[in-house]
Amino acid sequence: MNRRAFLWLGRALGATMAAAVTVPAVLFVGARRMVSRDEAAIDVGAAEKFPDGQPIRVSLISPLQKDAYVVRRNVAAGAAWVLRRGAEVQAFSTVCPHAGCAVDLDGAAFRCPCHESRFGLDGARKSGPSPRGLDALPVTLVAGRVKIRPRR
Amino acid sequence: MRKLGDWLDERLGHRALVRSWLDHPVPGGARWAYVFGSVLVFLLGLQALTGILMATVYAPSTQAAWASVVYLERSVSLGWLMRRLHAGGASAMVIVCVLHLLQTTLWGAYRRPREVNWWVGLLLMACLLGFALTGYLLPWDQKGFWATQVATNLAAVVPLVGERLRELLLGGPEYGALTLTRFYAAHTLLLPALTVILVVIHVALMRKHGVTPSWRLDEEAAKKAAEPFRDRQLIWDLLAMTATLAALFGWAFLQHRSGVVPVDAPADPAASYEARPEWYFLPLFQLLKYFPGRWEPVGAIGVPLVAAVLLMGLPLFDKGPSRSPARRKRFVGVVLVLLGGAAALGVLAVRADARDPAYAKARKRADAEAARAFALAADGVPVAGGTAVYDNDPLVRGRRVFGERCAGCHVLDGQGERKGPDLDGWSSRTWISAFLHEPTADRFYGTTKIRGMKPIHADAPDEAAMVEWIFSQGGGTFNVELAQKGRALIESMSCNDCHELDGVTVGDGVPNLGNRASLGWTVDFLREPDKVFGRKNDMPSFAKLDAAELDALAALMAAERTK
Repeated sequence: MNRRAFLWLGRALGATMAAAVTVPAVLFVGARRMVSRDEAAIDVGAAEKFPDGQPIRVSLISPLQKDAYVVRRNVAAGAAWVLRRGAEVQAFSTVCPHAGCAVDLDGAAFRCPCHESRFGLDGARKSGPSPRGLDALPVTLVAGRVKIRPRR
Repeated sequence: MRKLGDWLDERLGHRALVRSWLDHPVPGGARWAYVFGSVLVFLLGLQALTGILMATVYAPSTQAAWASVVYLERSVSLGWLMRRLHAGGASAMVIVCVLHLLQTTLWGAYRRPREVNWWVGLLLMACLLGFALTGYLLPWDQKGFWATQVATNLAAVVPLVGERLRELLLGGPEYGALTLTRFYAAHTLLLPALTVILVVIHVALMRKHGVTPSWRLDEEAAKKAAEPFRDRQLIWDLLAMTATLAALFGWAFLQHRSGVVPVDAPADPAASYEARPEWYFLPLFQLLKYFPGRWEPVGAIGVPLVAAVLLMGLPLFDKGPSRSPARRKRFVGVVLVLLGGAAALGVLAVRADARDPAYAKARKRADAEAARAFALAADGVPVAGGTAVYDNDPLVRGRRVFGERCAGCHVLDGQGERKGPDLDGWSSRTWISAFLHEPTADRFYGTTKIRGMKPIHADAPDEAAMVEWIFSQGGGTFNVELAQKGRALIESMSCNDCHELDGVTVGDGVPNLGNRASLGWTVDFLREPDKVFGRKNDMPSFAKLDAAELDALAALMAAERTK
């Protein structure tokens, strides 16, 4: 074998090994992991439990949460403000869209204690640094029971 | 590109460095026998890469370790490949290390002036065994847990400091959370650091003294016949590495295709397990069998220590003028006897297991347990840890709920009190048939207020047909023709005067037989038993149980039906 052939063979072997190792490694790292948070709607009680026009704070307890290789049962997935007006039910995330503090109820308005953002009972922004109104959570009424889909 | 190279070279001088590596002389010329060192360095790199990748998924805690390894195997793309390359790479390193040791022994490479490098090499071999030992505890499965127990218990037989040594390894008197973290730290931080330092010294000394040329060449001839590393030796090294890598890939694919469950069942200190170490520790395992009781330290510490001292001492004793193996029979013989003895012990260990039916049985049980745990882990593993995976099994959960909620009134598997019907084999064909014979026996409804039904007397074939229809309502496999015949008989015998058969109507205290004992029926029954038994019902409602608990109970009862 002449020198040129040697050089060529050496490079080919090196490249083959590098590819054989690197390609699987990249696929491994780039893999979409099966991180699945349970997104099923969470039952927070019968609709009549919520007084008309009066927001009530409820905890969202997820019955089953999967996170990679861990399953947890009855995990707190967050909280929500629930407001019933007649047959209509609305739910808002308690997380302030501005900096993530927990929004309180202050008389007939929602108020964020951190930076004084204020929101109407319909969730619309009234004043303060929040970029938008409170985030609405999808609500469904199933057989008279309020079900809320948690969202981050 | 060229310009960038020039710019860098002016500052780093890397070209001269690379050239000095490629051009360093190989005394006596290139040889296939010299490839083992390079292959070991390559394998070390592969172990580092696969190890780092696995570390991005693995969690070193007794709760999460097993779950994360199963997750790596079944959910992370190519996770199985990385793990098998790592495990196969470990075995390959042991094999190549032994070949390297044999080659250097035959060549007399440990002799003056290379004594220190021989010792460094032996230390690297100790590191390799340390990696192997700490590595297979990490999945926190039965095999790792029990096999490592044996190894750490051996540390305790070291005279004087044994107990302290064992505690140091375990991070306490018992296996626990700290043990796993300690082994992980040793496997991924301490040993790699030590190994890198030793490899640097090992390779630097190899460069300093050059590889040991053939014993047939004297110093002058070797120098004359020297050729640069690049070209022949480099290509041969690369070929050997590629072949090793190809073999590892092949082995990994074959293992993966074989369908062998890649992780043993989660570590369970309460379970019994016949522990066997990885193949490269089998010689030590076998050796212990010959030193029972108070002689154990001889087998555990004495013999390995003598072997280590002999290997270490080789360069101090072998000082003769010739490097020819024929003139150094004693010294080459020592190494051959040690390696041969280890191989023989390993073979004996394998043969002993192959001939032991009790071991085969235990292994089969362990494999079945591993397969079951692996399958259950598809639903994730509860935070309590590896063995909590068995809670995913509805039967296991169902049995627990049964013990908490139902055993006060019902008997199942010999547990519980008889205030209501026994549930062994509930609604199976034999159960239905026995029930038809004497519905008010104590094992059925004799202890309750539900005693209105009279025994049914029919020919065996007719009865079998009726039983088949009643059974078919609960689902599962059944004989359609026979069941249809049974339904006609049930109507002709006026059973439907009392029992509804449509599965919809709520009968007046008499069970509707339609859909009876199906999963959904069982759940509804547990929620509202009075809808089935009406005013005579004694059983409380279990609507307060959550859906998962009710489903588990229904699954438990469904399993009884198939008995």
